[in-house]
Amino acid sequence: MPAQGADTDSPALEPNPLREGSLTLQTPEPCCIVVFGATGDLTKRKLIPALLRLSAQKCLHPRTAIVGVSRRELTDEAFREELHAATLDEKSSAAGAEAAEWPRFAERLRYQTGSFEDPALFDTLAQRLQATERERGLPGNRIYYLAVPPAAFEPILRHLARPGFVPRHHAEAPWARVVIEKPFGHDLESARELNALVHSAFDERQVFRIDHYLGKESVQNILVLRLANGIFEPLWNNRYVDHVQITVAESIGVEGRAGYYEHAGVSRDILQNHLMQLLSLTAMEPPARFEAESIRDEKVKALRALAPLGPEDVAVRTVRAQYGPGAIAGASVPGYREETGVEPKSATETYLALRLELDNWRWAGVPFYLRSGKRLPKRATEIDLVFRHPPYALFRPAGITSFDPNVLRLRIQPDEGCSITFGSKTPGQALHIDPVRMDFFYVTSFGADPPEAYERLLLDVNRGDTTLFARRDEVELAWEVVDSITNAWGERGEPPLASYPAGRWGPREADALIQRDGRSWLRL
Amino acid sequence: MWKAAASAREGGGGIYRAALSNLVTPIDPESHRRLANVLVEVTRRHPSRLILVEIGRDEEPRELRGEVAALCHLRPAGGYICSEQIVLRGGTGSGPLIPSAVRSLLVGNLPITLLDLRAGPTPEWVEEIAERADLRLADSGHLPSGADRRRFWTRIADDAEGRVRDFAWSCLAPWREVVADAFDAARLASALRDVREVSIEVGAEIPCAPVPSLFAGWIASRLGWSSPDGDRGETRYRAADGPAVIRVTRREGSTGRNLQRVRFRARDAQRLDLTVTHEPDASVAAVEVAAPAANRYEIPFAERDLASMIVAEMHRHQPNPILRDAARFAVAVSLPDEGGEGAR
Repeated sequence: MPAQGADTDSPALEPNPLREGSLTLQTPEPCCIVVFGATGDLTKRKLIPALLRLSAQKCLHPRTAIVGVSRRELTDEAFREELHAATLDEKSSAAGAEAAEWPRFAERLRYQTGSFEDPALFDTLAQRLQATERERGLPGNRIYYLAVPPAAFEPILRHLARPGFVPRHHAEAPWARVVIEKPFGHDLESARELNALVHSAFDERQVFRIDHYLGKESVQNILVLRLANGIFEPLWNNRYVDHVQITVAESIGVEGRAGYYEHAGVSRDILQNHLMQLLSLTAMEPPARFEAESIRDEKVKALRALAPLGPEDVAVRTVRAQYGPGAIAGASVPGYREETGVEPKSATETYLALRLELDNWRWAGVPFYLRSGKRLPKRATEIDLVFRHPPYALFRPAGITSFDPNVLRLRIQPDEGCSITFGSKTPGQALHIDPVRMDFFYVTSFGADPPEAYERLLLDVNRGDTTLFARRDEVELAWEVVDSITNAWGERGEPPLASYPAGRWGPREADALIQRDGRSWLRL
Repeated sequence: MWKAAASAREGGGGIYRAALSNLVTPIDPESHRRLANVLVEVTRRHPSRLILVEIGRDEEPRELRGEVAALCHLRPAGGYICSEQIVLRGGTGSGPLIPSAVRSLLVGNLPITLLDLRAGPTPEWVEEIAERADLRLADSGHLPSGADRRRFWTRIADDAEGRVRDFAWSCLAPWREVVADAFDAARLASALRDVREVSIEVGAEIPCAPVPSLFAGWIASRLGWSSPDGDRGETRYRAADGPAVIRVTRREGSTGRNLQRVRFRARDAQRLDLTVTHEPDASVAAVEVAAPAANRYEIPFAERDLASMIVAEMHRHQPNPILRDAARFAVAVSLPDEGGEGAR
């Protein structure tokens, strides 16, 4: 029932002449943010710091409340203290404005103990939410954030489908939205089951599947770079691009997530979401309009254009590997099978390289090489467009028979920005051509690091903007690719699981994969 | 200078020399005191070659002296991001020398922003620099008279390219947002077409002065009113189906120009009566709806610091038709105890 506060008579906003030309976006509506998994790592490390920053920037409505739900017995006060310690005391970079905001922010916080399987929790929670909404004058808008392991999705969603939690139409006021963290299933079938379960309680337009990569400024800049500059989009095709490399490299190991990772591997942990998102944003056609459905339609079309991978293709176009003992940044680290919680004979892949092709007009004949792995020399996520050589070797008579191709590198993290590599004459009497690089760094050009991805994404959920969230068909198409690979691995055992020492850029087989085409991985 | 900076610095990391624009800023002792830290922050957020021009402190009439320094900011990932700060000083007679000096110091192929937030008249040399500037940002709230403000707003209204901007417009941003939000939050935007009476209450003056005339001009232009005619704090307009009015009054016990309250009423008061109040320094604005249904709620009032407002204007590269319309209407708005704004 709507409480006193902003009126909620009409579902849609009327055109507002006072809104024209607004530099800033509309202030989000007041709501209750219900975080399932409130004592977990994600809540402490990402969600609460992001909500605190939004609160300090006045991007959260003053009456918006946050209700944490978890199994642990905690009082409201103990919950606040725990989050305060996690968010401010241990976070040296917390700015003064955030520390100053804490007392007001803490007033937003509530805590409810209970087991997600227990129907009584949801009876109590319903009462608690109504009481909070009355107390803070909230109209009944709710965001349900599932910051829980996938096994907990099912009971939570089943209970949320009960009357009183979610209006059946996305535009109904008060509204309800659900945020789901990856992984969205563990294969196509489970993803479809999860989507069906989600849709038993929520309309697709109420569903926000978070891949935090999409909240990064550098990822959003892919479209801006391509489509707001006259010089890039004309080159963004098979006439000028020789091939594309997309890398998601991690220097860390499984870091206490062995239970999950043993079943996921890099194919489910990274390929299905981050790599596929980066690929679709790079390969998509320009959308008709800059709005959520147009952009998501084009991303889906790019995924649909991926050439199917049969078992024979998987055997020769993919490489899977697992790291052994080695050293990262001068420190010895154990191999994957020696990590706590990992089976001594585990066959889980911690590294994956593959070659994909898109069957469409723009990208025909341009291979997309994707790679990702754990315990690689450093953390780096980059997209490289490697351009073709000039059609005529003008400098051959001067003895210059080959030189490096031009590369447009989009750095997603760290050092967000991009660079262009091109050849330049080396100063001197003789003609030598050396590659030089022009760099753009967000931090040097805009004077500050871009905001955290979760800030942007949480704000978008509050505003109801789905642009930066994965749609059902996107998720399922990405699973089709992953399933075609993992099923072939399972059925044929090819390629066999290779190994690489921790601290190296993957196995030799990955080098061979790209060298067969006369190319090589770019240095990161 | 850069070699010296590189060898003198402590700690690791390199020096990144960066410039996205030329920022030319005439200063006087008062504005220098007010803006010194703000400009440093501006160069952190938008690395720029900062050229400060200060006239009138030197006894020698026709001589310019310059100093150059590096403005460096610690880079989160290590090292420093640096840009140049050049200070030109001269006597009162050296104005004619300044434009040529500034021209020779600009980084080529980068935009030129002229930021003039001084109080007082605009000297000829500033106008000459403004001719070449891609963006001229001045504050109508600091112009000495109503006639100066009217001339400035007329210039904005006539500037189709959007090169001239009013900093007072930036100061109005939280008010514009909160008023738009008030109607959206109450789902009363459709009632705006019935508004026939707007009352604006003003109070104590503050450094970033959201000028009420510009605010009134914005409301009138957005509501599609025409034919403004003002006298003694009351400006009358023609709406689609009859007369409309904006009144600007002093809030009891307050002086100065900043906004404190605005009330919107329809011709039929039962159709709409909505008041937005923001007390100085409050983090929220209170919205009180008397009609069509009584309601009261709060909306965040997101005041921004000066540096972020300046940077936001430097980042805006498109003409601003909303500002142009507001400026065109602001010229005719009447303030309390005065005729039009131009009479001040």
